[in-house]
Amino acid sequence: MNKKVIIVIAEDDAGHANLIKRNIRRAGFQNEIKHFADGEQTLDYFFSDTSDIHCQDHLLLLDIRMPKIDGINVLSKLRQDLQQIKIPVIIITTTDDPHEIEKCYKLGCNSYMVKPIEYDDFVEAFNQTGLFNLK
Amino acid sequence: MSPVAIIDLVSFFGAFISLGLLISGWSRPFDADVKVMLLAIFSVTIFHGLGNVLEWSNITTALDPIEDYVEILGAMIWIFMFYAFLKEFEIADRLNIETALKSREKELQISTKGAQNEKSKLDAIIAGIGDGISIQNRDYKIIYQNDAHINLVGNHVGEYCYQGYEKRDHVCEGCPVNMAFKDGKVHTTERLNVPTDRGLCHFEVTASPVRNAAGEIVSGAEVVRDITARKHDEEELMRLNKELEQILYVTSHDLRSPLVNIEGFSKELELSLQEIMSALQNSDKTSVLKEKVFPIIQKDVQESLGYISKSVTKMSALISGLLELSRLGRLKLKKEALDMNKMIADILSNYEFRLQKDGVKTEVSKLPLCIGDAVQVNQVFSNLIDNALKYLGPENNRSLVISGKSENNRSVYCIEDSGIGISPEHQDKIFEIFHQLDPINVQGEGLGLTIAQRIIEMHHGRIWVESEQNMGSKFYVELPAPDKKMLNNNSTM
Repeated sequence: MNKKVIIVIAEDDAGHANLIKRNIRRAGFQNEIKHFADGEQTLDYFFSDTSDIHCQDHLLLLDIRMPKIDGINVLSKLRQDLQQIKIPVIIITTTDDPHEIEKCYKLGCNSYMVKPIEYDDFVEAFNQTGLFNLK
Repeated sequence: MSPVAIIDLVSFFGAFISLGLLISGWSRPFDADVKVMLLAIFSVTIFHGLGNVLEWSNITTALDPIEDYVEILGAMIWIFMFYAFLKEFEIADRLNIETALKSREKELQISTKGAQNEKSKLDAIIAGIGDGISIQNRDYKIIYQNDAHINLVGNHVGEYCYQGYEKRDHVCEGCPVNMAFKDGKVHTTERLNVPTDRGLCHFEVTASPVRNAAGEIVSGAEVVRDITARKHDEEELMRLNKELEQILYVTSHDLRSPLVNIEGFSKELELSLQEIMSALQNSDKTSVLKEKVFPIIQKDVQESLGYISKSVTKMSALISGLLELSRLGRLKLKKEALDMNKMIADILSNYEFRLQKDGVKTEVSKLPLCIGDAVQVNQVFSNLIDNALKYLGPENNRSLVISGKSENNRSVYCIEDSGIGISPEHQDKIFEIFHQLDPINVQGEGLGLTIAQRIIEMHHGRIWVESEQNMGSKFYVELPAPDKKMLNNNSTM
């Protein structure tokens, strides 16, 4: 398991973020977790000069409905302006609207999960990113 | 025979010939002058003959000049008499002609009056009609506008329509009059944001070609309806609908958010309780905690968490249903000709296990094609079949019969089950949102038929039920049938 991958959670609801963290841990991942409560903070992290995105792998768990900048715009900005580093993005949201799912895949998300998420769902989704060398 | 006698004989025959001509051609084709001439010849020859008779009978032997006078006088009298006679005929002719003319004039007057009455009627209709009517000639010059038209766009008679009505310097794109000139058919179009004295207005314009007696298009008539208010209402309705859908979507979406926490943390509590119970069970100390707390956790707290979890699941399902309904409003249908035989076969294959398990006999007859969005129509029939399987009747006689027929460009399908049926008082309610016939024993949110009805309405179709308690139900779905053009397009795909 690749412990160097930093898991970034972009989630405005503290409860949801807490549940996601617990289930990640329950699934056995002990990676560093960073939590941002809105899209602006998330983008600031990825685009700041002090960010270590160039020297360390990241995985972004992205909620769609967030204050300031929503998840769709965060994903769009990442794919447009960070083309050289394709950070795996897993959309985590409360809606299973096919239109929204299609939109996210078109923008380049790696997978899409509808809350509430069980820990075994995380194992499968993290495995698909290819970052964790899971069996 | 002497030469005089020969002349007399010729004169005698001349009289008969002229008489014959007069009789045979009296009415026509001789003109009155010719008739007078013929009468003169006849009279002269008759009196010449009379003179000769006198001469032959030696009555006027010594009075030859008298014979001539008699002949001439007789001729003059005859000419006068026949002239008078002819005049009489001429007068009669003239009178006849005058009578005919008067009759014709009367007829014309009646016709003119009729035409005037019709014109008055038409004028009244055109004046009273709310729609504007104008006529443009082939050069697009306005030659007529009714009052309503003038009220709508101002008086522009004599101007080019595109200049007068729309302040352009060329024929407007999509001009229905132009189209009517080109193909001789009636065309309707909407002209939006047309500048008028009342500001920008929206009009619905229907143009038709006006033809002369030879069938040539000589001008174009257009009927203009002011749809500004209707458009505003439609826009407002659309805005409100969009707002409502947005509210529904956001509410449903945001309602799920706290539910995720309730559901998630209920599970967390359960896990924590299991750990506590495990710790207490493994504890060898008999304590108050173990005696009093353990039963509370095991029974009361677990029971409470069970209810919370069940309610959360139910609420989550209801919100999902609301979300699904709100999505339907935003859905754009991709309509095509649908092979319903294939679609029903596909749906039934998905239910194969359940049909076998519940011992349901299926029977599907040949189904007609229909027009619809494949995904949505599939959803409708899946919901109906799913419903039929939810409310099955007695085990020994379970059947599902699917049939269809074509009626007046519509395809009507029937899904007949042998289930528990629906009592009359419930039949109107089954399509209502969240209505459930048997909420205790049957799983679901009461949305399947609501969604089916909404989808069918979006397809301009109909859905209805015929049922009796314990006698099964027949659900009918009516959808538009594809026309030949659509079928050809499909066959070439």
